[in-house]
Amino acid sequence: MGEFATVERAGPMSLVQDLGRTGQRHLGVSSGGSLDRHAAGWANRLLRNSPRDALLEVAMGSFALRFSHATTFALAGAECNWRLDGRPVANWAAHRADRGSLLEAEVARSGVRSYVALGGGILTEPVWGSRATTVGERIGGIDGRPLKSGDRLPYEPEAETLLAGAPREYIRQYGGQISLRLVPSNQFGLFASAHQQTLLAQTYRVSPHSDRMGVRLSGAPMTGVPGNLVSEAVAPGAVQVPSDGQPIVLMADCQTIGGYPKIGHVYSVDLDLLAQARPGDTVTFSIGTLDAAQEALRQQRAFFEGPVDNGVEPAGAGE
Amino acid sequence: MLRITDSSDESLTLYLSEDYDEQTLACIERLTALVRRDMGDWVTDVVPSYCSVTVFYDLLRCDHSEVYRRLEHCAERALQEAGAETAAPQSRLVELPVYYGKEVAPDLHRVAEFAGITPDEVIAMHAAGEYRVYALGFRPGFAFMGKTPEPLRLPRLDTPRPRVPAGAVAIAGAQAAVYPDSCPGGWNLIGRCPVKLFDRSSNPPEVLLAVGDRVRFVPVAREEFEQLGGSLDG
Repeated sequence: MGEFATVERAGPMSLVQDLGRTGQRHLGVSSGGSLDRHAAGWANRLLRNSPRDALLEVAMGSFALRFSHATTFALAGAECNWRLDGRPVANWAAHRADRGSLLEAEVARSGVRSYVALGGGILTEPVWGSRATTVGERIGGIDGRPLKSGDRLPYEPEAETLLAGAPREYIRQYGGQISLRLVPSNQFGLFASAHQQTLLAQTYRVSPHSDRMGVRLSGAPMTGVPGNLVSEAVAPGAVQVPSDGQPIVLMADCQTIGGYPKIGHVYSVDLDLLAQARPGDTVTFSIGTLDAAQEALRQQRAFFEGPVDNGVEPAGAGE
Repeated sequence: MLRITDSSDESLTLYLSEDYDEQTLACIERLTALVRRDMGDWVTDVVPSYCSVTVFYDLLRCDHSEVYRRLEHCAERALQEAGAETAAPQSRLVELPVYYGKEVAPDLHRVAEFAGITPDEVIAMHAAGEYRVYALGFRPGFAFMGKTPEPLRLPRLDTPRPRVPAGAVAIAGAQAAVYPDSCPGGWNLIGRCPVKLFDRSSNPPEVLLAVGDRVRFVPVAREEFEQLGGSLDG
């Protein structure tokens, strides 16, 4: 194995990701993994990769990658005017790159996170069953840190690959209002009905102090929320409300336990949209049910883990 | 008080009590073991904490109501066993050497002032008791221990330090811990432990402490601390 994709421009936060880690939460190791599973799932699917294959999550674009060897690659997620050797290449589509060619992204125009999958996946050394990078824990990817220029990402070029574009109905446009469906659970009953109404009635803005651990929302605060509780396990999707009354939606890199009261959890599939939200974007909540949340997640997972032939159009058909 | 709630699309949390103590901890240890043994391989993670156990499951392979039913069953058995006072699983005792020298104990004096005693008395008090591990989290290998003796329960710092060194021995309120890794942190630092609590280079990850362990802090001199591999670096 001697093929590498070399990072020539790393951008503000580019990470090797996959579906994350399981089985180690009790040791304090967070799950991590791609923040937008829909876009990451499509990038791998377009190459007939396994949904578990590692790929790149490029936040805000400004990224360039040179291939040492001919390969296939696929793009999905945030729009950032991808170019291959200077020629525009379509997002939500798979492409072929020659030996030595350069893939470049401009600053993201809409959305935050773009996914770049390579045929056969990125083959950095797995750590505890996953290649996902958790920067806060310094685990996975390359030395547990964001990529920097000069980093080499090993891959094994695969000849047999389906080149295709995602069907139109799966292609997402980012920006605008995000609507999150909330399953009222955890300590929902501890919150006063006034708090519940505040959460459901208003339009929040995404705070700039948001990251892969949690998206902080700002709006009219819920006043007099329940105080801190004895710490318990927390998971991505949980909506914490600390004493300042501003909700935090936990994301993939969140800690494994926490003590803030939680008003419920957001549908897992809705986190894909939140992963693409920029500071200032607006967010509203509506009440959903666990059954509906699980059904949506089950469908998403079954789709990406299922056979690829359904729902992938031949190359060029979607453009 | 048994209560089960969904805590995410893929997890259920079972609460055993409102507050934590040794009795609850024993029950949580039993329940965690039962869940790991009996619930099925569609369980992906089992996370015990102070008063609760959270079970993560693969929803492509099982049904929420099935997990709920089995978890409830496991909890009833754990409570029965606790009630029958069958021999509790013997908790492990871990002794952690601690160097309490002032170059590694920036908050020792504040704790002493708070308690109205001398720094040496703080050390004696911190090292006299036996602690239990109630939860792991915050960082890989970070064990939340309790309970710190009443007079030493100084709250955490208003502003966390940007960097706490690996091995820092810390207290905050009723809680005690040793930082497994350097990271930002807001607890009061009163010493340094030379023992590695978490090895990121091993596979699977090696973590010294587990929920339920009994822990004693054993004062050591600077020479011994360094012989054991401890580092005085800030």
